[in-house]
Amino acid sequence: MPAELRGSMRVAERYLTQGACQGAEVAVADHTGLRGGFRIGRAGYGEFPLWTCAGKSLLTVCVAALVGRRMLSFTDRIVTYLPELDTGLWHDVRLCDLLSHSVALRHDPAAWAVFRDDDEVLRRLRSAVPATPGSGGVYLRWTNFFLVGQVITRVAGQSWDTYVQRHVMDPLMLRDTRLRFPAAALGELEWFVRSLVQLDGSHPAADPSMPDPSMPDPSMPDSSMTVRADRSWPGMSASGPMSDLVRVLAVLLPGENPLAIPPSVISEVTTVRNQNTGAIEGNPLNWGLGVMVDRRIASSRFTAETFGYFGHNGTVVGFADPARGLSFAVALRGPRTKGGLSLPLRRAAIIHAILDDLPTLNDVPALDDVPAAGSDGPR
Amino acid sequence: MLDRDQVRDQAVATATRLCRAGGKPAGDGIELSDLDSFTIVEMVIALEDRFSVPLLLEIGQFTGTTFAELADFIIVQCDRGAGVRAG
Repeated sequence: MPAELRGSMRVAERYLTQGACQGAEVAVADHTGLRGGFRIGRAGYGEFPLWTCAGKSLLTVCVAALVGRRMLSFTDRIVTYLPELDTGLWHDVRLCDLLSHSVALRHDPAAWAVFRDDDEVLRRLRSAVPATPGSGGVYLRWTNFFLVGQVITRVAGQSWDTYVQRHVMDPLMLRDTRLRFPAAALGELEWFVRSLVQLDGSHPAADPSMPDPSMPDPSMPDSSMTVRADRSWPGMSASGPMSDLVRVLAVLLPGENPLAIPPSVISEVTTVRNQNTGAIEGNPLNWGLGVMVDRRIASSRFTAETFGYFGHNGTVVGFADPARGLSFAVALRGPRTKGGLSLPLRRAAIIHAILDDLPTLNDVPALDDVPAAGSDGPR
Repeated sequence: MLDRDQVRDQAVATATRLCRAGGKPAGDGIELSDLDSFTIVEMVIALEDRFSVPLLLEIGQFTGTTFAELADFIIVQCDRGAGVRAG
């Protein structure tokens, strides 16, 4: 067992022993790079790619870098780049409105990108149904970042995923992060999208302009719709280890960053723009531009400037506290108990244990030097 | 030996105080399921301090959904702690 993060590893081991999770992964970074972490799990755990919140982090950092290079402005109207959307609903929507989840749509139409190509989703978005006037923004898992991806594509003159790979992932040396959803986990993605149909009212099928994905599609009369295996989804399909996620978030910490994003741009990203939007685990959270700016992601022991994400129904959390100059990521692989009580508590226990471990973080080895997860139970 | 009702009342009072501090309504009939994850975590931390018992560390074993079940869990953890100290 490495000397660093010994306490948090002990907590994770206990949860494995109790059967409360199948695997756990923790990483800590600062603006200079990875500072420490561990990954432990039961047999087969390491074979599962984690569906993380890396996708939204990557696009947020990519947009910030484009703004830093003056190729974009957060206040640009998106129809400047996507003229085909210049209808009443989208006419005044700015890039910052997408990133802060301030667009009020009744549903999340871009979830249809799981089954369709981008052009068809854009055509559908032209006739998207606005939410009730005055209802404010809503957290849309798919549509906002789908459109951010489209804007990047138009600005960069190449597909958003190619641009993100070359201009964000390669400079950060994110060797183990993938933008395309792992083929072996496409069934999980389909389950997730179809579960939205059953669990809440934000599913695309609730949009009267869209067919119900749980029903036969009139345009595909002889087959049921299947998840596209040949594409990525901006903000939704990226996956990778916590050690990569913390390095993405660390780009937005004070200090020099490999993407040379100016501090003024980082300040814009990490300032609250939209309060109490999007209830996750019952928490209405505050949003900056592309990141939640809310210490409730972590705990009250962090500062109010803490920003980051929940992912995968709270089984993954990545956040950074500018006051500490550190980014953190915790993944607890196991049953997703939506609305359950135990997951937030287990997550908080590990986060608090990490804080207690921080004094030992000097001169820790890189995560790559930490032994891989055991194959027959917790180490 | 802790009294189950007293522990439950302490948990309810703590949850009510945290909800009100966060500007959320919290009446007499507050349930564990009414709490968001942030409030739950803060409540457990407060109860750790109140009963001097490490709850977060053991919470993986908690499968209940009510304040009464949480009280039972706290009492078990306190008894274990007392046993360890006595041993």
